[in-house]
Amino acid sequence: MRPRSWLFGALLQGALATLFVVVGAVRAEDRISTRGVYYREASTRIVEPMVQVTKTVPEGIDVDAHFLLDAVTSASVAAGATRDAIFTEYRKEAGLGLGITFARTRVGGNFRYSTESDYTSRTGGLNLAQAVWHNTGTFSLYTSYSDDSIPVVSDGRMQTCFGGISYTQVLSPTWLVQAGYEAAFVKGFLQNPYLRVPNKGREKPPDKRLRHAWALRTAKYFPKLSLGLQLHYRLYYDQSAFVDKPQNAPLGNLWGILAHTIEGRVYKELSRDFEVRLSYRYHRQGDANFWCDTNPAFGGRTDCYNPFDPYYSADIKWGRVATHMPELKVIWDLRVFAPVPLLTIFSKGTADISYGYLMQDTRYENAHLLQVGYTYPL
Amino acid sequence: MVLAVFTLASGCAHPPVAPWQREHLSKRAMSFNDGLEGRFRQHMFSSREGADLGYGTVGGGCGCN
Repeated sequence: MRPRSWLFGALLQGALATLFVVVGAVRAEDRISTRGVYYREASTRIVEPMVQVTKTVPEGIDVDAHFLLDAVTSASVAAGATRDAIFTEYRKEAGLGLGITFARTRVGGNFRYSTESDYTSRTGGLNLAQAVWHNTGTFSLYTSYSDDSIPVVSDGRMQTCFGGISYTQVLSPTWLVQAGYEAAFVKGFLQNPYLRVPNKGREKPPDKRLRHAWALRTAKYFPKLSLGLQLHYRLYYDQSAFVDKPQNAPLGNLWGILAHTIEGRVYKELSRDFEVRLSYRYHRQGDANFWCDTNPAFGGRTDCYNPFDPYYSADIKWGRVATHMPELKVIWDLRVFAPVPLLTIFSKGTADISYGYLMQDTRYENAHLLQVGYTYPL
Repeated sequence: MVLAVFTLASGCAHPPVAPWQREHLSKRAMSFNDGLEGRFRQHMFSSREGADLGYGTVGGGCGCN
């Protein structure tokens, strides 16, 4: 048995043990959640079942475990196809988290393992949360380290050091705000192993990247209307520090992607058991400084890189991108099934279904996103 | 600066919100945690947009299809 198979098996067993062993007093956050996702765009289809268990056992200790399977069916050039070949690839992911709460402080750790035929990722993290101001504020610190390997290429290793800080404040019984900052330093094999640049060969972006993101979120509830609103804003930018510049490199910041993301959500309780959520997300980003469009079908030129350019890429996610995604979600508390034989067991849970339409201005084209979920309190 | 604003804001929240006043804070509309739903969304956007960060976690697969 290969080491990565052993590791994945151990994590999966841990997740299952969490599912079956931790049966005790019910807590507000104790639950098992299952979800199925169907994503479809012009050349890619993803089916993803997921399960997550969260349980407090014993007092003050909480355990979180999840498992998911991605089935990605694609005919994209990005996946290596040169003709109309369609193939399916599977990705499995399992993770375990453990937290200990002392008074108003929670300390936690987590580990996640993801494997597919051409990519393996291991991530370990630590987090700390402190309640402040009469428990109306929560201060959080978190960090993680990821080590990814891409065995289909000889230099296929990528390492990520990640850290974040956030503060959430209750301003009134119906209003809260959250602010956060995250940074990540990535080095190694950052490119897509299958993408080729005309006249250059396999793409080659800078092998280091320092990334930053600021996020602001606010939520407000209107009791008389049974209505809730959320507004999220995120600012993302790359910094050129720590990136060595070779001769002929572009001036200024090598990466230089600047992005804004805004999302609004409206929650409306239609009855005791039904709630709907309508959301809209807009994302806009500029291109990386080393990037140019080599696809003539989208206004690019196959010769836009000259022979001396040290960096070149055909990955369209590093170009200018704008996406819009409206989404509708319906949430149903299933207590109506309590008196129904055979269905009584489901009556304590909550089901949801959502549909989102992702509009992309890239050659990935628009996509449909359908999700179905069920959450049962343990 | 943001932390300073919230520190001042928390100081303005007099009296502090008591436990029995938090009924509405437990509504779905008042949670920023998207759970499994957010996990897929993050992976989806990270494979289609080059600016994924700010959601509390990183890593977890190629997303290169």
